[in-house]
Amino acid sequence: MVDILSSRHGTPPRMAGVSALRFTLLVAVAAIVIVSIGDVAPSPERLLNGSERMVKLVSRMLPPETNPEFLWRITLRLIETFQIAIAGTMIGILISLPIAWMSARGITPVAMTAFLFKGLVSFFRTVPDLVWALVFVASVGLGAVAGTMTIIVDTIGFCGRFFAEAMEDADKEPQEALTAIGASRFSILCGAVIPDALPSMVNTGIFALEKSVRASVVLGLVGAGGIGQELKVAFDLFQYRNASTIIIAVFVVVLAMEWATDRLRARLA
Amino acid sequence: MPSSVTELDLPGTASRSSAVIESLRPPPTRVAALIETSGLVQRYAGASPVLDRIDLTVREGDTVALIGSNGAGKSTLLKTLVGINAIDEGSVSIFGERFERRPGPGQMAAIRRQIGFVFQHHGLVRRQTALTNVVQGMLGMPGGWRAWHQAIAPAEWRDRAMGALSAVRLADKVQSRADRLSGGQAQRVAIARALVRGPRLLIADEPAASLDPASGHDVMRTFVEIAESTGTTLVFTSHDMEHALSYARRVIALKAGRVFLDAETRDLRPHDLEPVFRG
Ligand SMILES: Nc1ncnc2c1ncn2[C@@H]1O[C@H](COP(=O)(O)OP(=O)(O)OP(=O)(O)O)[C@@H](O)[C@H]1O
Ligand SMILES: [Mg+2]
Repeated sequence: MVDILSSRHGTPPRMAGVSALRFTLLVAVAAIVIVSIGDVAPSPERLLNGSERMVKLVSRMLPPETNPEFLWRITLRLIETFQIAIAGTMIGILISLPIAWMSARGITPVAMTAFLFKGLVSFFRTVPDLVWALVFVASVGLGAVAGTMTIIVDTIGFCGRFFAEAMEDADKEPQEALTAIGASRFSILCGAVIPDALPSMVNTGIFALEKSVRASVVLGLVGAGGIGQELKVAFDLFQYRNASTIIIAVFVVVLAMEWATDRLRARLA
Repeated sequence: MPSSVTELDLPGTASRSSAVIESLRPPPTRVAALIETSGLVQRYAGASPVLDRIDLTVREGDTVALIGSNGAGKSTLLKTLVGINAIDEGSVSIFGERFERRPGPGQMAAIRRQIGFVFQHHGLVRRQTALTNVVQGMLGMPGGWRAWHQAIAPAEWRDRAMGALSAVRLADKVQSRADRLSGGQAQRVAIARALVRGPRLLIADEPAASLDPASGHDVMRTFVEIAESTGTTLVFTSHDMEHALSYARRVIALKAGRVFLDAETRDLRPHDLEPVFRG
């Protein structure tokens, strides 16, 4: 009897052949990872020493400072942080709208320059916010204005991209129907594209606000206003009890904001 | 289901709102023919023409069905008539505007202002109400930005939109969002959007093709009622012989880019149309 299970055709090897180039790349990546760990990862003794000091630091942070005058100052700083986040996000969203329109494929009135606007948005997004903060502190000086400008740029980098994507994803059929009756590009944007893209854009806006609140907390570390400035002062002057109060306050605020935006999203869904 | 247009009974709504629609129409400048093509040739990239020396005339007030199998060139002909496609040879005259290749910018605006379009898919803005969608039919008119949304539209435009919606028997769905309407209702809103400017010519490319038979008849009946009661010229394409014979007064059949048949509906029997769809 013929054994039908014995293969007459070449069974493929268990692993696809590894080319020389791939093998070289693999070795190179492994080498980079190992060397990097050796250079910058904490060594066991560093970890041991560090954790000892960490425990000491935490004990000096407790109990958190509750002096009313200090609490009041922190509250004002938190409000300023919030203002930076809200003003920056709102202005950023407003500027994002025309930029998104100019950069959205098939929607933009000037197809030739769409890539320029896309590039600008990518640039805003890829440069980290602390770098923007440094730039603005250097140009407009220390304080909340530099922070707000950072949040604006940050928001444009985020909303500019996702608004454009929402516009590109908008239903094409009404756009074609309205084009046929001679509607202008801008009328089509306002009458057909934005109504269709609105839920997605509102969602993006809420995420942008969340992101901005988190970002505005650390902007003060480089002097761009808000609660971060107090945190830096507290560490610089070894006022660790003040620092712990600030950290707790920030934690509560960010948590409250995330809870609020979650509720908002649930209501809009 | 009526077997011919003359047997249709027009419900009151259509005739009542016809006054509104009539008042929207620009004063008629009578032309011998609303549309006239001579030696029309259209080829896309390919060598063989999609439209091959088409000569046809559409009189004002007529109801014309353009039939033919898939790829016969029906949609292409409609697009060419209104200047969306450039013509390769021959000429088109529409509303007295005569052009070769393409209409000039002024002609284009004049032509578009007098036409209402309805496509196979309704093309409504889903998250807007029926009323806003109909008001948007005024986009492209002077001051068209006020047609973005019904809330900012001039009172006169809102009235026209209401008139158009009652003409398609949807006065009770004015506030419904387009994505909450049935396919047939949505298509009727699209008809209202095409009507709101008071067009002289309604062009519909397979308006019933994505609807079930009952809704399809409903939509076709709506078209014919409105065209009859307002004197609007109607040109629609269809694959459906029954629709062509029941709702049009004239049937033009295209086959391989040529006019295969051009006759009054009353002179036609169903079997006359069969060769149109045979390979
Ligand atoms: N934009 C285009 N570019 C190139 N060829 C096209 C284009 N549009 C249509 N055609 C071709 O022209 C021919 C006629 O197409 P058209 O859409 O006019 O036919 P139709 O009669 O409307 O068909 P259907 O019943 O399927 O809608 C087809 O062969 C089609 O492939
Ligand atoms: Mg077609």
